[in-house]
Amino acid sequence: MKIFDTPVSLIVEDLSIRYPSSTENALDRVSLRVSGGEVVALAGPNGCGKTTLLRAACGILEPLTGRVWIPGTTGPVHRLPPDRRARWIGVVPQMEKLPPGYTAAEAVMLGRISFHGWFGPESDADREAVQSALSAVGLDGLDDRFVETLSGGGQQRVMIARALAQEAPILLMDEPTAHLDVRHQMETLGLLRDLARQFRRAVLIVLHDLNLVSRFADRVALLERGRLIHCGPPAEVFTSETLSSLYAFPLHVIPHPERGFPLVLPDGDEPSSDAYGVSASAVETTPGGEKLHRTRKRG
Amino acid sequence: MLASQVARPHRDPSAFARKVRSIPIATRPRRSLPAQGSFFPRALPFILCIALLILALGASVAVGAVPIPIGQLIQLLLRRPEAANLPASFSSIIWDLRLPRTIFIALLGMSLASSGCAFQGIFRNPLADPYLLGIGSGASLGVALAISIPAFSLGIGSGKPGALPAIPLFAFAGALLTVILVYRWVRPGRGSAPSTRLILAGVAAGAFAQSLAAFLFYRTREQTQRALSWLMGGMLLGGWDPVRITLPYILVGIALLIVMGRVLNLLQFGDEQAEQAGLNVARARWVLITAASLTTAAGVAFGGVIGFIGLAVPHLARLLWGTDYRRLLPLSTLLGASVLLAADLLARTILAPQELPVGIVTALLGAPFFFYLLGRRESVM
Repeated sequence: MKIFDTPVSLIVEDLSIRYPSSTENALDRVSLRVSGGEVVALAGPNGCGKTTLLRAACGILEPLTGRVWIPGTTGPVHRLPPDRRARWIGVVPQMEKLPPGYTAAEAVMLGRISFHGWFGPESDADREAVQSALSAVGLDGLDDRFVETLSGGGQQRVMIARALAQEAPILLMDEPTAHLDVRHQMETLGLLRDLARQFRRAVLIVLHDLNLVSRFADRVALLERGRLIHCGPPAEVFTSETLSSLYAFPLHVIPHPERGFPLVLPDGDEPSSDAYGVSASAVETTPGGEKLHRTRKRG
Repeated sequence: MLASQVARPHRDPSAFARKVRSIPIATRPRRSLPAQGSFFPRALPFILCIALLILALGASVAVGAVPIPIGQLIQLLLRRPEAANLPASFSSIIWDLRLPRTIFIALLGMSLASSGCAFQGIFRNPLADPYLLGIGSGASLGVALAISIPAFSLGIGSGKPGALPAIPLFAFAGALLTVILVYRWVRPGRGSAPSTRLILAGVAAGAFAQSLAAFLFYRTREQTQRALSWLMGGMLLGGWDPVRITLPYILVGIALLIVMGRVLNLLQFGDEQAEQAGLNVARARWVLITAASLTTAAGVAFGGVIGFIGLAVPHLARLLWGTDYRRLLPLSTLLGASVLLAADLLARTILAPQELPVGIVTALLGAPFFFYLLGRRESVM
């Protein structure tokens, strides 16, 4: 794995994003800096703009105002040609089904296209990078398996390996642990933290699980309806008041009994299903055992 | 207590990788396709396809109104009619009639199958093919314009030097305009083109172009019958001219598509993922579309619009040998030549001595296959 002696940072300045179909800003004047050597997590309720921020950070979305840039490059990331951009930023998008018919090694090798171009032969350096990326995510020995025969977690690790094979100093990941079991969650996030600490990469991840955020992130950025409301170490940002009001649900924050990082525990009763127009009495069971859902007319 | 239960985060990435190796990740059994196998299993499909092509070429030259046994055929091909113990007219049948036609049909099959395979990859749509996307008809409209508009004076009988070689260029312009129109029309923003609308727009554009071409041919009154038969997939000209003129276009187009195999593979992962991996998706797509249109147009220029080869052959190859475009494209190309030669053989022999346009045979066999694909669409891609 390449070590980046002069750490590279990704700088988000005053960034607003608006989707063409919408009249509201999906992101509103967000500023954030991710430096080489640190893991920054993005958290917040559904629809708060986490994925939008990540997509803007990797140059897929064009900003309405502000910019995302990497010191040392010539312009904002959305203006960089894709092959140059891929040398700076590795991206793991939200989990999608991978197309069938490619082996894990072939799928990871596609992350090297900016090194060998459209036609060029695969070099030894390419093959080495693919092998080390596959073993970093624990897929070595499975490199000639077809991706569609891997489980969801296996496929997700193929996508992570493809981003690692780019050997980029900046890594952006959208819910990289969504399909992983608890052990692989720990290992993947541990790997990302190692990549930041030992190999001086700048890592920005979207994470829903607040306990994983507080365990692995150096800093956490909380988003609420497109605005950045808090940014700092989880131990400072995660308080019962902040999180409860952000998620509109009572949450308790207590320190981990042994390690001291904050643990987030849901409190209170679950919102009643009545709130959605379905009540327990309206769920009936047919003789065949199927459940029938009926919505109650509200007057 | 708790600390001992929770696995410590790993400091060394390879250390946990060693431990992970023993854990089963996949639940389904390994597929038997040889992916990273030794030379022979990887080369086997190519050997098979080449053998099939040689067989089809031989059959196409040997079978006809005057059947020629294989031994004598070889003598004739070696330009030794005396040894074959046949009158000199047989040599002329082979060299001036059957061989050019056979080679042209093989080239046409290659162009249709390779461009169909490429279009399926470019649009990530298993139903894309030069015929259904209207590209073949667009090319034929280009040809009709070249032939029928006096200002261009490219009439086949005009005898002007340079008239014939210009026809593929008109076909190329027509093909490219059609694909740009179809693709721009259905494309919403940066996302991928929705499959159904792409095919519907292609079918409509194709019907329009083909009817306009037919209208232009009726208007000229000369050689209407021949031109209309060409629209159905009959050959426009005999002899070596079509081979000589289209060969460079088709070879350049197919070569370009084959070396773009890696790019086609990356496009299968979706535009966003491909771009994040470092591919200039827009540029790659236009290079591919241009190459595939050139390949289609060169074939259509003298071979007419032939449906379903571009659809069925790549599918067959994919079912047999997998999705990797670096292999799929050359294999489809070889297989396409054999399949079209077989269809042409049928077209020549079913109603002998009358010849059918080969497009009629490919549609009769290809349309049922198309329905079959529609039925099992989900499992195709």
